[in-house]
Amino acid sequence: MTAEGAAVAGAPSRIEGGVDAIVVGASADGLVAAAYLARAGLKTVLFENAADIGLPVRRRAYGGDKHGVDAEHLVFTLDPQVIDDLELYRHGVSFAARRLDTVYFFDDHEALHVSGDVRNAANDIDDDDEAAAFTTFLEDVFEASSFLRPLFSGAAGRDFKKAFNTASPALARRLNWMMTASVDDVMASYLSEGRLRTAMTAETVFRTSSAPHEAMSFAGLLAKWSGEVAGLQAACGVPEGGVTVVIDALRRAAQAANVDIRASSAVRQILIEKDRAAGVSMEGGGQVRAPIVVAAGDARQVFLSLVGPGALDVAFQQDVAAMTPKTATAQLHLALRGSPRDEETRANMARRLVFAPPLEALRASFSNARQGEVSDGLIIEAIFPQVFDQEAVNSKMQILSVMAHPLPFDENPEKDRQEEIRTAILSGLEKFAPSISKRIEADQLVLASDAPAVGDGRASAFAARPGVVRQLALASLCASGGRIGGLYFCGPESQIGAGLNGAAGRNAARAALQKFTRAGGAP
Amino acid sequence: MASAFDFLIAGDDAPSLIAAAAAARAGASTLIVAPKKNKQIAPPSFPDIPNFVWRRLNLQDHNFSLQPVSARITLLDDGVSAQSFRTDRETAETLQYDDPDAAALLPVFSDEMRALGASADKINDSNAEGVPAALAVLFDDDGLSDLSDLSKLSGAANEVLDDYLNGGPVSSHISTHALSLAGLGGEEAGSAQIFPEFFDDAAWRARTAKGSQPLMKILHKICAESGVVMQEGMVSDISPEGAKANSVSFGNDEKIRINRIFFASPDSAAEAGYSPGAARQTAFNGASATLRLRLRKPIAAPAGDKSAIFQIVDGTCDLRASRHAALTGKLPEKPPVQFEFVGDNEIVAHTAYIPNKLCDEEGWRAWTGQDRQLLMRIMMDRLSSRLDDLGAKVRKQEIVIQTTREPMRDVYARARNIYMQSKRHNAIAAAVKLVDRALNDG
Amino acid sequence: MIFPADDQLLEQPRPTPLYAACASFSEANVWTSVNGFAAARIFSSIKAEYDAARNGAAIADFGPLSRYAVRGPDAAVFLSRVASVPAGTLTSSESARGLMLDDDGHVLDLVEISRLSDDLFLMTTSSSQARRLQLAARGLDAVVENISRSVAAIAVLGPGAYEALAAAGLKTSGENSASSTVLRGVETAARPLQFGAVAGAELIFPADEALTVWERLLRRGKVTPIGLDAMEILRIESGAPRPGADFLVGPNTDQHKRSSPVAIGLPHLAPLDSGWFNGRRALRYGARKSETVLVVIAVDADVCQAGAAVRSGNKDIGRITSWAWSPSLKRAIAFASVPAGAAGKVDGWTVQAGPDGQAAASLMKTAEGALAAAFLADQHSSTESASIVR
Repeated sequence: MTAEGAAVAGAPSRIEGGVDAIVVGASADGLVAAAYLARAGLKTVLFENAADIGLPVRRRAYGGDKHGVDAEHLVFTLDPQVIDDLELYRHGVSFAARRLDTVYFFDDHEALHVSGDVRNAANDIDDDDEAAAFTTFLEDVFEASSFLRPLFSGAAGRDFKKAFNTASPALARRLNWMMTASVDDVMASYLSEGRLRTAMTAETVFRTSSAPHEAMSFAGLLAKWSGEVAGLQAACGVPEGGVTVVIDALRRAAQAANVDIRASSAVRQILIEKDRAAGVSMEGGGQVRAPIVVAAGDARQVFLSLVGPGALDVAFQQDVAAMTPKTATAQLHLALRGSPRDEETRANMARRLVFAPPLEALRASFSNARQGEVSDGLIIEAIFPQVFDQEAVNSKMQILSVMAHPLPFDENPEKDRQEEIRTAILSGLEKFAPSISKRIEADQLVLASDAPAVGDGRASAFAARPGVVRQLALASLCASGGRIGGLYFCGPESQIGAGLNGAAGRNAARAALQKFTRAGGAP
Repeated sequence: MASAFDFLIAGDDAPSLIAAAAAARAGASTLIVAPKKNKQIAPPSFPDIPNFVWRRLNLQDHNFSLQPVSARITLLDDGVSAQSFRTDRETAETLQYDDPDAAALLPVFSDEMRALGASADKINDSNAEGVPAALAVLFDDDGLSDLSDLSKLSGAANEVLDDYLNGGPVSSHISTHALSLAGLGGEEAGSAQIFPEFFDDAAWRARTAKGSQPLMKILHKICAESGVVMQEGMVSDISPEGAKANSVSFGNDEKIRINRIFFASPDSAAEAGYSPGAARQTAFNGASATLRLRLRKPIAAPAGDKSAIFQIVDGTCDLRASRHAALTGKLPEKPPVQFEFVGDNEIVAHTAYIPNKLCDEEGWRAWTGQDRQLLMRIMMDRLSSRLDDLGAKVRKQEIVIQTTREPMRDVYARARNIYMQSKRHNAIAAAVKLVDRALNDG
Repeated sequence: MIFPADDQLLEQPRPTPLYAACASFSEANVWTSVNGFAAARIFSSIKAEYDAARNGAAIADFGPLSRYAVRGPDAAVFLSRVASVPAGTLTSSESARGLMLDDDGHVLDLVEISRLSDDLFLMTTSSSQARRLQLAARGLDAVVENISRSVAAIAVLGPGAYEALAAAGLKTSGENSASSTVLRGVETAARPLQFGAVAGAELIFPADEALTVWERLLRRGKVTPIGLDAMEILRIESGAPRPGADFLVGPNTDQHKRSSPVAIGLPHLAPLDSGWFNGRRALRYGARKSETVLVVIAVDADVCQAGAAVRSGNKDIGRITSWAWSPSLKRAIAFASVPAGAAGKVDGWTVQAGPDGQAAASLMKTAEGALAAAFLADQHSSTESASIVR
């Protein structure tokens, strides 16, 4: 059938069969899901709108008119089981830095250097009292986030509930508190007012939509620190060659498992027949039929467009529609002339640089962003990706990749708005890298609304993550696939916390395989 | 005084006293601690006393009777107003001609929100052990509706409301009355939790009827009769004692063993010296102001209804802007102001949209006399914009700002069995239910 | 369409457009409230009203029900989604009934849909569903207009219904077709009606004309007004459960207390093999198994009591949810909620019936019961051959 299908390729009304599983979207999770399905022996086809997936994107990035990668620039929570199962090290992933130190900058031009080995980061604090307080904070948060890891990675089941109920009363109470309290509450209980508190607050609310004074906002840090990079909890890593290399490795893993990857193939609709996913229809005409469809787009696109309201239960549609983001992160790539001479700055180029605005300004920024306004008090995370990229190290320009948060989420940002955001990010940068603006050769702004330009961390993933409790609820709702049989979801909403992870793709594939096996193979 | 109590109730407002009486009547030894009061102005209305509380305290034995407020009214910009009544049906009937869509949807909204009440209470359970009740649904195979509820309640009030009503005066009316209690802007994550209790029957406010004894006087009497011990003071430290109790001190050397510590509202907690920060629905850096106007001669009530509760707001943007101002330590330009008539010659106005601490060029600072004067002018402006000729009729005006204290550090990790009730519209009903739950907790 | 349960504790019910007409005709003057509207329970004699519907023609004020006009290119998709009625397959003038289900496959309401023209549908629900319809219309090109407040509705029930309509000069297009026409200068929609086992027609017209049409029917059509109490007998005889009385609905009903189509004895109204509707997937993939089902029983007694225990031997197995005195059977008939396993074997059941103590009860055959049984038998045989795969 496949051979015949291929023979009539291009015929508009073609119906292709013989496929076991279809994955829509080559995001990291889409690739992970496809690889798992194919490795389990399912004939798997992956459709992607974009022409390129993974490495070609990066190659393009440093030449021509692009100056960076439309993607995550760091890895915080790469799912260890995905790395292991899909043999990502064999497929080209290696870490140029696996415990990147962070330097926090503040409004008063002071800086705070925190070791990339966060668990022991309190050693860097000079003041004894503060170091002791920070140690307690780290111990408690690490304990809580390790405990909650199954919950955040989507692996929590009845066992986890049992573990929770048998946890010591002190731990259980602390978990309860940390899951529902505000950042301000928790921080105030451990750390005195000052830079460390400001830095940890920025760390917690970066890329989330809950302001630090709002209930349930602290859990953001638990989710973030429950992850690990190359075996190190709460670390932050840079893959050799940039994050796109991970996507590329996932692509290779998928290809090695015989996933049929079809780029430049836009899916128009997910076909639902007799309450089951039956395949997809393509933008260019034609259908591909399969009993399993895994969707890796964002929830609104997958359910409201690809499935469509005519086939969605009403309350489910309401829940999906409620996922409309209000705030977002923006990424700004800068190509800089010249190179810094002083030792400190050169050293910092191999670190993660974070500007942590004063708490008042940060609170105001969240409030403004929700009103659709851009403010100055942005959290800024910057890295120099070239430093970690052997291939790009000799480039005559320095690339700086900057992520800024919180900003308004616009469906269709006007030119003025883009300029406003660009200016705000640059003014934030200037606060710790004075006169950097003068060195800008070229720059490029990527907003959450930008069409998913590349197969990698799609821009829609720049939408701010809701509070963790809400994320958990939404992830479970999405995982139900709207009760459509054979439809599995691994879009950004199925992941707890921002950034590249892969667990959602693994979970979607696992769920699909369980049902597939139970049904006795191909129907 | 005894050296050990079952219950410490911090604060002596009506919900606290009722909670204390309920605890004492259930056989718990109960201590009320409240600081010596500075000057206070209280609005004449309080949350309704539901039948089960009435029965528990036998209020009929105390020459006590209640008169529910007649309506909630919002005075919007340009002479537009919106109102709602105690029953959804009456509200719908009134809306029928102006806004038939809202007339059909508002009763459904309030019904559906009330149905979320139990879930909202779980999320607010500050003393739960084991799987957080709010999260338990994530492990249960109970269909998707519980997840859907959790998602709604962890979202913003505005989003939930907008999903039912498409803007318009009714929307502003509901937002203002629901959110102004805690000075919220409506965009805060989790602010949707305000709705289930707002639509609770016990959230409708009431006043003591003519000829009735004042509520506070009766409550003090009932507490005394029930053996509640009352002490002036403030909690200065809480530390664990044994496996289940706390040792509480009050700024002197004396330590008292307490099994359960109960705050009927974040305000009473703050007043007692405990951080209200952990309570949901508490606006960060929020304080409140109450303004009393004594009038030379009576003034006409808007809509001719002196027994309603009024809110002044130009639109929901006022809520957000004022909340934002308070958050950043500024006085709001147009804070939502709630007011009630007290007899013919007095008006009590209230706003919760002011900062706890103010921020200017030199940084954060406490309230000054000048700030108070300025806020009084701002509130007077708001009132004058809706009440004709108010300025000329005011004989005397006084304002009281209620701010909260700095939180005690790290109490959470140390204390046991702390029951903290968030700011609630149905504060009296909820306080008694929370006391009951605390008594069951072991 | 079956009325929902009477409102409890409601003061000051609203008048329907036909209130004045009903009131002037009511000798018994016994009223209740349904959906907030005043509804006559008895006009003069329950027996006479019942007989009229059985043997001649009776008219009832159907004003308390909720009605919606649905238009637009996606109107059929919208209706198929919102109720278990494949609206797209209805041709002009056809009507069908179905259920409105939540996402979990539990019954929210009863629905009747008539297609008046290519792009105009009329939907009747027992209670207001404004919110549900608002949600269901999202993303679809369909306009839903709540016409409940602007129309009056008269049900003409009984074998003589069409004769009476003709005599009153309100001849509709046919006994089985819905239509929208101008009758005697009044814009009127007429649709066939099935009230339990009794057939008839429903006239829907502008509220202003309410009294004119009612008068005309009374004078020329020789019909008898029928109240809720007599209709209750017809309803239970035919096995049609009443929302809010025999099963619970509404936003304040806990998920666990809602019922599936099987549990309320109407599985045939939500078939899995025709069009998709909201909640169908939950029914197909693991909706909670019904623990209880509704059955209609005949009780050997003159009176009965809602809430009375149904006993099998010495064991309480269920309770009566609603009852009426059947003039034709000369005994009480009742809906009973009983364990799903017990519904088939009604040997030795008794019901606590008034001062006389336990009265024997027996299963009663009803029109709906027969439809459900046929449907379930058919479904059973078809699912045996086709395994359902998720």
